[in-house]
Amino acid sequence: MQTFACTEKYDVIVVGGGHAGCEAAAAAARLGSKVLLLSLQIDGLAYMSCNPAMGGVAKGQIVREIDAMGGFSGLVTDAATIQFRMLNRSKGPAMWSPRAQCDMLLFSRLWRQWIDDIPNLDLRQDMVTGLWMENGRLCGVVTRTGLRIEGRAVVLTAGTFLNGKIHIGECSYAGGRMGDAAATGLTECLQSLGFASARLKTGTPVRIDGRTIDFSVLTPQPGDDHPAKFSFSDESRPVTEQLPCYLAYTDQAVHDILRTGFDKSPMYTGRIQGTGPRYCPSIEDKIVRFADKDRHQLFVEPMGRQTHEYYLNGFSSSLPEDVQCAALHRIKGFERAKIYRPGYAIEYDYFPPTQLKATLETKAVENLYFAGQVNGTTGYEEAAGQGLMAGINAHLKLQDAEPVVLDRSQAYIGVLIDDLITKGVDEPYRMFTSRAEYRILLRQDNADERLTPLAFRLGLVDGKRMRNLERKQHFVAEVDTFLRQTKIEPAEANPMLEACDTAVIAQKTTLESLLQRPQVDLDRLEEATPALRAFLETYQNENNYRAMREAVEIGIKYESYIRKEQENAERMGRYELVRLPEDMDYRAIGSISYEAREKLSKLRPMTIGQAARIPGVSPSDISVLLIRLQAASRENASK
Amino acid sequence: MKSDMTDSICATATPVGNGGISVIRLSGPRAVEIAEKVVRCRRGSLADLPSHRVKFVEFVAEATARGATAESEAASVTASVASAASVGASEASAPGASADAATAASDAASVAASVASAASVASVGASEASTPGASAVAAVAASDAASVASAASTAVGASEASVLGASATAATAVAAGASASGVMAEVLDEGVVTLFRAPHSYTGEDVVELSCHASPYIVRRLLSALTAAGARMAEPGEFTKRAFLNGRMDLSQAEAVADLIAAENKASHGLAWRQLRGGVSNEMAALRARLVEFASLVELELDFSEEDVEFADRSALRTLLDEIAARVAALRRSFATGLALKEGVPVVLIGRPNAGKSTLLNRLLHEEKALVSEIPGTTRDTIEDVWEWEGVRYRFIDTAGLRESADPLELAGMARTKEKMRRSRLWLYLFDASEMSAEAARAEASRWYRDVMGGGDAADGVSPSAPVGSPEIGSPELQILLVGNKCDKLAASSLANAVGGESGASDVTYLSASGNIDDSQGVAVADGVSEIAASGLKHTSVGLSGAAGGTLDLLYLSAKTGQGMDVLESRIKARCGLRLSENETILTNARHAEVLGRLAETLDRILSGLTANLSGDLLAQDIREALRYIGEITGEVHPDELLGTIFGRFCIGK
Repeated sequence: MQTFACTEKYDVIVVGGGHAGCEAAAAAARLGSKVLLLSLQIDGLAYMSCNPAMGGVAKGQIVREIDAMGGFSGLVTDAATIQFRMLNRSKGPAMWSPRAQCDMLLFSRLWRQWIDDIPNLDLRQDMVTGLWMENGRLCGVVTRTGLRIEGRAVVLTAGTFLNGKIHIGECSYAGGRMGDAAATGLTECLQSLGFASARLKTGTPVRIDGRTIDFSVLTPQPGDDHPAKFSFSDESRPVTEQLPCYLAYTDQAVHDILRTGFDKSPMYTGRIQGTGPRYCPSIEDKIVRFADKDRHQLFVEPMGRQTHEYYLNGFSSSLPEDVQCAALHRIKGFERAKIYRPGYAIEYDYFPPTQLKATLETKAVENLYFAGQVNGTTGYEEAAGQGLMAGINAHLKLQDAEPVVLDRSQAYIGVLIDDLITKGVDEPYRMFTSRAEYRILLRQDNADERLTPLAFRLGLVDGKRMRNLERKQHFVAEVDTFLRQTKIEPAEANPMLEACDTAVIAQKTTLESLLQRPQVDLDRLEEATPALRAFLETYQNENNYRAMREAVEIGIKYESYIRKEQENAERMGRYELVRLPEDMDYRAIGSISYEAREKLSKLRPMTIGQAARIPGVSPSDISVLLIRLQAASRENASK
Repeated sequence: MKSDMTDSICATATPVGNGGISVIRLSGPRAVEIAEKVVRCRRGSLADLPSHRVKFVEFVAEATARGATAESEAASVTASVASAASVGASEASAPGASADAATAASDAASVAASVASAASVASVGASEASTPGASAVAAVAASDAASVASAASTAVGASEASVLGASATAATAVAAGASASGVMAEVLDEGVVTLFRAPHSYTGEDVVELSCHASPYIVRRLLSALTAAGARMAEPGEFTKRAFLNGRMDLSQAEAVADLIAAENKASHGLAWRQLRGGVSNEMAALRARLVEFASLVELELDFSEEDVEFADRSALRTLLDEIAARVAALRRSFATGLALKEGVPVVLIGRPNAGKSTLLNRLLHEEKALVSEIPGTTRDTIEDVWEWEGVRYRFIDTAGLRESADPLELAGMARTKEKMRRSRLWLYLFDASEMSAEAARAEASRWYRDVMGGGDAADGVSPSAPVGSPEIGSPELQILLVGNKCDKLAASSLANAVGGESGASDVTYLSASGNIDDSQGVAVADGVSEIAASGLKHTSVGLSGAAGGTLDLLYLSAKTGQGMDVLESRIKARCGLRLSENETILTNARHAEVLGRLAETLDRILSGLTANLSGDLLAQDIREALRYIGEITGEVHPDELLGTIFGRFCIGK
């Protein structure tokens, strides 16, 4: 086909306008690169193709990190929130996880608005069908119409669109998402450049008209009484008018109906080859794998303020539409439910992420970056986090600047990317807190402390954000000192302690030691101690007053755990600093296992720490590498 | 410890001395190639020899070096050989040796191996060599090793001398060869080589074992030839380190090898052997698997809190933890047993000055170990030595007498005595039966028990209460035997009186000079001194069975004449004899014990966290810590900081 050149030239071209692509384009452009964002559907940027919510356990922490790094996901979420909950409040602070139900149309519209407002960021609707390569060098992209667009770096964030295939019962057709076409050509182009690709599968449930749901028989699940928000910025406000979600349950009768469709299920008839996520199973999967459970919980989630559409979380299915419908009608409260769109499964191409460096640049093609679902992840948050880092690093590389790689003790985003490039994926990768070895350090409340100074140095957040952080740290230090130095009389404290159901005190005790008790919180302590009340009053007008109080409380209550984890991180951090030479010939090291030799040769880890995390590389293999490095450095020293 | 696995390393696997067979071990990628340069086969070549086969060969050395180089090379090899022979010897030879050898010697010294342990390498090496074709050699080597071992352990000076003496000869020989000029192959010896091809060898690399006649001269020339051919002298533990690095064994198995080499008696050998076969590792791996299971339940609960997942109930988790904690506690307790097996069951001799402790020690050890005099307080410091009965070693510790004193020297001695008492499993409380009643001795012993264990304020001064955390009297950790000494001074009648006001003679065990006692019947015939009633003879308990819950045995003897010694022996054996069941895992490694101690603390914290309803993410942190500790034992953590210390314990050649 005849190709023709586009007149505009770009520094960074982002292919795909989902959560990863939007963050990548915004970050690179705001850092100063001239950016083009190409999307198949520019009316649906950062579209919530699945559930209408951001955050959740571990994912909420990622959104907080994105915000602290200067990404937009947190701000957009806050502006589009229709219900906010801090999950896991009853657990330790590392588990507190913000989650927001969002108005999905507003969410997408806001992103579009923000993208449009960024200078040196162009938006264009087109399908990229190939990379423009010359002499093995990346020069830009080629679109379906033959347009050649010159770009020094390309970030691929194509989501589920690459050769996407939608399955509903026995029906299947090409599509990147319900209602959108699949993207073709790009996978084949990348394969010809030497990239390996494979198939994954994910699914989504039925969407229902809320006017046909009998909410009176469902259990409402309201938002928090004092909703918080995602962004550390002063510019966003917590949601004021919240909409409830609802709980519903399947039963045996529902399961029986679902089973009647198994012979037509694309999953069970083998028509879907891709691997689906174990932890986000379809309803038919749940029935099969947890056959002894007589019911499954479903969440009924509103999809926006201006729509009647509801999302039936937990009922993901690719069974034939009539079976889905019949089963739905057997669920209590859904007897008359009308379906807007049926549930479906989608299969798509991804590129095993072990083909990437820690900057998300591909090892095979310089200046080509992959982020989001093309790397085998699932979830808006995981995608956005990768997009942000790919955008930052694409820009930095063009500036010949040092890359930014977050480490595992610094951010969930660091854990995410390190896991991807080191271990690869064999099912869609979702973040869990248990994936982080320093979970207690990676809290939602301290994401700003962990990342904002870095973002400030890069130029992704302004001085105002830095001052906010400094004010918070100042407040924490002041209150902390006050609590450590101020003692309370038994007469003053004991009624409160009794009310909290904890042992009374016999002599004057510091406020700090009382706050360390699990049963005592800062609110109670403040009520019982006029001096503390007076002290805190001077700060009451601070913008993030509640969040700042929380930070003080967490610091005192969990001091010993935090300290221990910091020590561990420092101890293990040594291995992250030991760099492995890029030209190391692992196959020549006979004293490490065959499997380790193969894995190391293939993955080429950058540090000993990363090497140690590669499955199949044993501690004794690591010892051998360390000994070799020591010998090499001795040799160099003696030269 | 420097270690480059591309090298090929060599060392003698047997002690150097004039014995029967010496085994030189060569390991590394070039082992076969290097060995070929020092062997001459009647037919075929070493390279064609299949793995695990033996070949009869001539050992040859090429004398190509000349002049000063030859001298210095010989000297450095000599030094290395000497350090291989024994640490003591290498230290002695270090001053005269090259800088290289000095380093090796100081390395070796830090390892603190003993002459005897170097000797026992021989038996290890020999048993390794017992491949089908080599059984004859193995038998010879083994028997030989035993004789060398005994020789080496009794005559350190001699073996040292022979090594140094031989080095002079070597220098002369090399110099002579050099003066003849030109390349000259000299047949040194004939013997066999055994080939173990990678990865089916001890180190996982190609290994060649050369068995030659055990002349220090031949061994040294062969090592010299091997190093000239491209091998380098192995460092202590380097063979085992390579085995570890090549995945042939895990960390605790590697450590067991060190224990095996150091094993000096049957029981301790059995322990090390069991651990080598994976005893502690397996036990730990099983614990780890269960903890991982526990951890995953907690993690599940954390990450899926919003979803309708059913979680394991806390009481089931608690049960699992209790079980794990109990196993850890048992393993930790077994450490004391393991230590006793390894180092000898500690038996401390205590009592007033001049109660005859040193005399008894000498009697127990059948030699004049302690200085004996009539002057009370002659023994200022503790003296100890080991005696083996029926495969179990006892470490007898003579102490400075227990008495109130203002002499700083004596006080210091007493402090050491008390420390020894705390670490001993058996106290022999000696008293002069001609001066003191059993009742008084008992009171005194119980006073010292409280004093030493640092607690228990029993007002009566008789019935001691076990201070918190201290071993109770009569428990496996602490037995007390009251020993009335000097009964040769007593007439029969007064002996009976000496027993005190209670049921008298029936409480006393006393023996005939000929030592005839029939424990099973409880009958002893007192030879001309006293006839003691049959019933209480065998096992006398004096009223110390109070709050401490245990009992004290009482027996009479004369350390001077030897009367009653046989009963003392049988009492000691009965009270402290260690019995091991075949499948029991016994911890012998101090590092493991220390890690398990920390593990126990962590498990405690998890348990109290469960009780306090601690949030899962915090519990999980403690569980991860526990998993890390177990990993430190099985080597499933980054072990580079451990490696140096662990492999430093080895002697050369293994």
